[in-house]
Amino acid sequence: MTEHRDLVIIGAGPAGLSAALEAARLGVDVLLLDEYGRSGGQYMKQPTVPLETAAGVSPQVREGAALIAEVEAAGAETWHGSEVWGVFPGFRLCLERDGRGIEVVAKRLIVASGAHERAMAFPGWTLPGVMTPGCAQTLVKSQHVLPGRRIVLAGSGPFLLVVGKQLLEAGAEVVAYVEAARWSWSALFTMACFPDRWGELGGLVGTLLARRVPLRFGSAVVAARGQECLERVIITRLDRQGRPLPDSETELAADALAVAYGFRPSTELTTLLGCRHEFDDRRGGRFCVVDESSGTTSVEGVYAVGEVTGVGGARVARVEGCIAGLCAARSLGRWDGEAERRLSGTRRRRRREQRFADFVNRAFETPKGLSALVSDDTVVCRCEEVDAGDIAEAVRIGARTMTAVKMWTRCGMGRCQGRICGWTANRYIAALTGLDPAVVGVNEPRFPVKPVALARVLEGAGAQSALSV
Amino acid sequence: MAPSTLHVPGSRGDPVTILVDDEPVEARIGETVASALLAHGRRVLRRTDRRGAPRGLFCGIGVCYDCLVTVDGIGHRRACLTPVHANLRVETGTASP
Repeated sequence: MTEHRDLVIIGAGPAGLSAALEAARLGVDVLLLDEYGRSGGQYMKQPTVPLETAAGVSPQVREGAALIAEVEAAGAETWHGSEVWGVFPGFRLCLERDGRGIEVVAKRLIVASGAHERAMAFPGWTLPGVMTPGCAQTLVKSQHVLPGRRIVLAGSGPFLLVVGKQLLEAGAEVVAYVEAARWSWSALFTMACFPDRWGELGGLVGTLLARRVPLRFGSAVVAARGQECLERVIITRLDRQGRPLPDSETELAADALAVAYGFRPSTELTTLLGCRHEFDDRRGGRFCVVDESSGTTSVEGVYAVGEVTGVGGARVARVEGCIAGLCAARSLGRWDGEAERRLSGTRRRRRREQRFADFVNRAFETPKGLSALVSDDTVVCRCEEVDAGDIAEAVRIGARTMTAVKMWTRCGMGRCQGRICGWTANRYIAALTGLDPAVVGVNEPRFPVKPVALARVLEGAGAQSALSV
Repeated sequence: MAPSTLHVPGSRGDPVTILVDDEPVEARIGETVASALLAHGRRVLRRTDRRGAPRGLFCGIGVCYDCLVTVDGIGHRRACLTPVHANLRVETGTASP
C-alpha cells in the first residue's frame, strides 16, 4: 500500500510539530509520523493516565497540548504508532503502522527524529532498577508510577535537574543527585548573560534544595549492586580530568538509579538518506549538518530539525522546526508576505537560543577521564552481552574503529542496533587506541533501522504475502 | 493484588485486571505493561541468553529492547510501549535476544 504526500515530517516532538504547523498553515499537504501513541515526543510527552491532584499539569505538557491542538486545527494529518524503518531515493519511506507495512512517497522530507539518552556502561548497569532519567520521567509524568522508593539521580546534564524536580513533585524520595560536571563559578557567571533563563534554573535548583536532596558535583556512580535487582549504588568523586578517585567511594542503599550523560542524536534516517554529518561530543556525538537559515541538509529536498542536528533543547528545536516548515512550504510554492516576516523573526530567535544551547553543552561536557568505568567482565553491548574485555581483545589484535570492533565482537549487532552501547564503545575504543572519537566512529546504520517482521516488509512492497506473523 | 504499590497519590484511570504469569494483577487504563508491572514490584522481565542475567525496564521509550515480554501470546514485545487492556496476558522470562 503506497501513499503520496507533498511533505512528510518524521517525528512529532517540539521540532516536528512546529514544522508541521508552519507548513500546514501555508496550505501544504502535510503528513506527520510518530512511533508513539501520542504526539509530543519526549519533551512534550502527554500523559496517558489521568491524574487528579492540586499540582496540575507541568508547563511542558500544557505547551505540548496547545501545540498539538494547533497542528490539528491547521489541517496536518498525523499517523501515530508509525515506525519508519527505511528511507530510499525518491523519498520512499517504509514504515510499520499498527502492525501493517506501508510505503509513503514524499516530495519533501523533514527529519525530526530527535535524540535518545547517552548511557555509559559501568558494573551492574544492567540490573533491573537501573534506568535512564528519561525512563524515570516517563514513569512519573506519563504513567504516574514511581520508579522506586529510594531513587538516585546521576550522570550529567540539565535534564537531570528537570527529572529531579518532577520526581520530587510526584512524591518520590531522591536520596542523592550525582552530577559529573564540577561546580563552576565561571558557568554561573556566564548564566548572568541569559536573564530569561534565571527563573527556570532557579525553580529547578530550588526544588532540590528545598527538599534537602544531597547534591554531589564532580562525582559519578561507578557501580550498581544487587542480587536480582538494584539494592545499592557506589558513588565516587572524580578528579579534574574526570577519572574516578577510588579512595572517595561511598555506598548508598537504593532501589532505583536513573543515570545518563546527556543525549545522542538519532541520526539513523539522515545517514540512510546520505546527508552530511559531523561529530562533536558536546553536541551529542554524530549530528546531521544543516544550513541554519533554512534547515536544509546536504541532500536536496531533505530538511533536518531539532536534536538530530545537534543536541540543543526544546526552544532551539521549535525555532528550527518553524524555519524548516516555512522553507519547505516555500520550496513547494506556498508563500506569502506574512511568511517572509515570520521567517526573518524566527531566524533571529534561532541565533539567540543557539547561544544558550552552546553554553549549556560546554558547561556539561563529559570529562575525557570518564571513559572507562568498565572492568573486563562488565557488559557493554547489552543486547549481545559483549563485555569490555571482548572489546579490549579486539583492539589488542588490531581493531581500531567501531565497525571493526563490531565485526569482531558483535557489539552493536543486537536489536537496539548500537544505540545504547555506542557511546561507551566509542569512548572505550578511543581510550584504548588513543584515536580521536570522530575517527573511531559509530555503528553505521543499515535498513531496517528498527527491527521489522518480514511480513511487514512484503506488505509495504505490495506483495501478496503468505506469511501471517 | 499487592496492597502497596508505587502509584503516585491521586493517580486515576479505570482499573482493569491483567494476568501476569497467570496471576491476576490490577492495572489502570492508560498504563503500559512495564509500568503496571513496576507498580506492583515486578522488575525482572526477562533473562539473557548467555548468562541468564535478569533484565527489566531501562530506557522506557522503546529504544533499548531490554523490556521484552510475551503479551497475549506474541513474543518479544516491548513492555514499555504496550498499553494494558482488560484481560491482557503477560508472560515474563520468555524473551532472550
